[in-house]
Amino acid sequence: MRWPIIYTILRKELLETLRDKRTLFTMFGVPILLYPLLILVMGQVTILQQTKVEKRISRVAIAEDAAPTLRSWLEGMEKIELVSLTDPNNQLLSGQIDAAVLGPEKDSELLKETMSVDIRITYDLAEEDSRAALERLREGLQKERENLLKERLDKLKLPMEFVRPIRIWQVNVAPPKKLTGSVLGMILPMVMIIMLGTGAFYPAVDVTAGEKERGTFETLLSAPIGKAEIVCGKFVTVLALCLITGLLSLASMVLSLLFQFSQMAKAAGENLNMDIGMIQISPWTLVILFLTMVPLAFFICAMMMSIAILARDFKEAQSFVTPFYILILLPGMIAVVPGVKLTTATMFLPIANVALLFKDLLTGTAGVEEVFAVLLSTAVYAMLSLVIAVRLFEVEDVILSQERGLPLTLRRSLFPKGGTVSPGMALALFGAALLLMFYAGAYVQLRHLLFGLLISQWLLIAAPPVAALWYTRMDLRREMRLRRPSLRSVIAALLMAAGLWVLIMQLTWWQKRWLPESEAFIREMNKLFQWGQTPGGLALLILAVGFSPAVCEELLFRGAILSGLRNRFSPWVAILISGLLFGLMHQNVYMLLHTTLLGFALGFLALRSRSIVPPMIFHGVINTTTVLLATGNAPPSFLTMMEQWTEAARFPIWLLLLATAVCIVAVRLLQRQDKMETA
Amino acid sequence: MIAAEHLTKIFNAGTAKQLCAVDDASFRVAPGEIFGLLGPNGAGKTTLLRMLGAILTPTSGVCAVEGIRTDENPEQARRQIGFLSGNTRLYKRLRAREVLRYFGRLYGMQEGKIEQRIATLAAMLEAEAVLERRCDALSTGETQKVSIARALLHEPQVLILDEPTLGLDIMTSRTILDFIRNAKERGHTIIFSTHTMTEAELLCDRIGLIHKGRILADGTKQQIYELTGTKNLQEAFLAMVEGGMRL
Repeated sequence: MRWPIIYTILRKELLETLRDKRTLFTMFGVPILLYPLLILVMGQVTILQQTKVEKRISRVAIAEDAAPTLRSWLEGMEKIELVSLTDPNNQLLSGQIDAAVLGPEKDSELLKETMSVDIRITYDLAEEDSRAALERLREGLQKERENLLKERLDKLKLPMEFVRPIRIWQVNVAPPKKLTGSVLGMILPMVMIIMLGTGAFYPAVDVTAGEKERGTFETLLSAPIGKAEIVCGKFVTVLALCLITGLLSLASMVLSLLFQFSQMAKAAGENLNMDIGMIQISPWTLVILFLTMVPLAFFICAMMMSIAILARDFKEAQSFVTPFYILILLPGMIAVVPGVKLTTATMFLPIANVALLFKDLLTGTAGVEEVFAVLLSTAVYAMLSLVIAVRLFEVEDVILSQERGLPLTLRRSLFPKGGTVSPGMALALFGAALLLMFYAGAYVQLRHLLFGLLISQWLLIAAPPVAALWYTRMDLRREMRLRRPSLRSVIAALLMAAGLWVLIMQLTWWQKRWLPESEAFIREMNKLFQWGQTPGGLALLILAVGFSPAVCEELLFRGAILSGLRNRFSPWVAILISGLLFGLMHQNVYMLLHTTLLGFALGFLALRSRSIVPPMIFHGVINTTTVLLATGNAPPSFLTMMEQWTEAARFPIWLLLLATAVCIVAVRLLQRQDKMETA
Repeated sequence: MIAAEHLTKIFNAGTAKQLCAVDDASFRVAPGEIFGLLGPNGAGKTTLLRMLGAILTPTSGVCAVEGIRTDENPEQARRQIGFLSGNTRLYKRLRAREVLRYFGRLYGMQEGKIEQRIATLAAMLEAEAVLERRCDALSTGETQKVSIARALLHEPQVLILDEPTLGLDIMTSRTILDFIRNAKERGHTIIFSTHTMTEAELLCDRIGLIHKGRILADGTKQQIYELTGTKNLQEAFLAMVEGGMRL
């Protein structure tokens, strides 16, 4: 790595980027002009509106024959104008009045000492003026109530304390720093992530996909420089621009807010007694905030560059990077969720950890260990993402690719016959299945659990990929691996299912120690397995949970998705990604780990056996065994043993060793087949 | 000197999209010689030249430029090469002089030397007026002149030119062809690709006919005409493709 080369690239990229109007606007225009303008305009409009509402006279309707005292009370209130009451609802909704007061007709009723009377204020919650009228009336009437109460107590010669035996005082011990910090801690992390994302977005796209679009990559690659040097030069540019935007945005926003608060205080005619958090933050905290921002910016920049380089042009890169930009806001939102704190688990969650550390630093509760752990883990993620960017630059197909994009037409006859599933299509099929399951699947399962499961499997999971492959005239048999399996691979599938079932059960027990299942999850499972009480119910349960997922999920995951991934990536990468997607598909945190691991095994089985049938057998055996045991449909002696093992949350060591040995035998059996499927 | 031994490039290896772009190509180009790579679009010319230019890594086989193997020392090999493609674009937001300075620095040249070379090349290419203009304001011909200056800036011994006249008008094409002739006279080793038969006939000392990644013929025009019994390269090319001949 030669620094003069990196510096040369940095200088050129900066010069080029700073001559781009789009980037200039995003970098300087947005933070310097737009944010203050937005805050100021919004603030001014709010102040204006508040002042207008405060000055406005509330029109309050009261019945002509209302008790004279009530009328005199209302007449004595400030900024209240009385009008005649006809139909309160209509008068309110048509905007003729702001509120209506309904009370007793006679003073004798109103002032009777031994009873309470009802005074009803009708108002329109959706109208600002109406809410202001309600507030004025409530305050005025409360004052009159106090007066009446005092009169009555005086007559009885009782003190006010007689009706207030307990006085409640709220004492807040939070120092102003903590108080303002907790408010700012909610806003600032999100603001920072948005600012850093905005700052990195255009430069990341411009130096990668932009250069590709402009056709200058080949020239650059013909120079005697390393790809890592190119990536570093470009990366430092993006990082610098991202941090400049981030700092400018932060400074601009803080200054605008300070100005806004002072304006609000002036408008309210008093000191708002508001501590501006930034004033309370020590310079040391600011330094740590900035230090935390650097690895975060590092991570965001490298990830955005890695994604943008996959695109063919600027426009495509924008559509690739935008979802990532939205995605990074999600962990940022964690800091806003009440009760979420920086713990051992959240400390290593990318982006979320920085957001939480920001919060702790602002409230002054962050410890040295926390700062260190977050900085370290974020730096590790940042380095990993930079390594990914370098690796992608080293892939010649990515840098110099000119592959065609989406088909221009969707007419079936124009699709080439016997085409292959692309990785993009595989991901689209996964996305479609995930969304369908999330919305339609949840709905049908809510209506009827078992039939809902059946419908979900066949209509939402299996039908879309089959239909998509048929419509695009692909070879269903080849892409779905609909081939007769060898006897050896069927035996291997059975052995692997038996061995892995034991190991996965053990893993689930271990998992429960640090991630106990929620009551809702257990309730849901019990509800499902209750069907196994009757023979008919059990058959239906096995059909819905044992057989259908084995067929339908395999068609999607080890059929279409694995083929799509395999058509681009190496076997192991395809197995890894398809397994992860399989785990995610279950949309359940308690099932994520073991379903992902099973996904890896199923992918391996599919590619080794070159057929979808062994994964189907494996999947069916695992699910059906679970159903039979959970419903108590197994030999009593075995059930008793299982109960003991479940109680202890561990299998005997000999069984674990045996299961491992069985798995190894299954893998060896598969390895003795032909080589791993190549396409 | 350029030497290619059994060069093969397979894209998307092991997947359904596997494509053998260059298949077992071997040839040598001596100093002061122009070797023309002739073939239709998609024949594998660009991939082959990119491998020689150490931009792409061969799947198998080796190539050496001035005795430096591109797989062992790609950066050192690139220092010997001036790479120019018809598709070469310049950084639109930079001025021509800034582009040349940038590449001079990437090649590790001293600032004084860079300015001196820019002046020399601008005079040679009659492009002095272009230097201070932004690249997005240059005509196609002016862009190509700046690209030539960029490729020659570091005084390379070997020139790899990938369809350098692609999309150019007659006048600009002539400037490029003159430049190639002059470079040959100065003793440069030149390999250039084209799908224009007349260009190849006019310039090349030796011609390689390439089709579907394979070099069908490597010889002088006369050798190719004699083998195929034809009188021009176009007929020779068709005869070789249709008759399955190899030279």
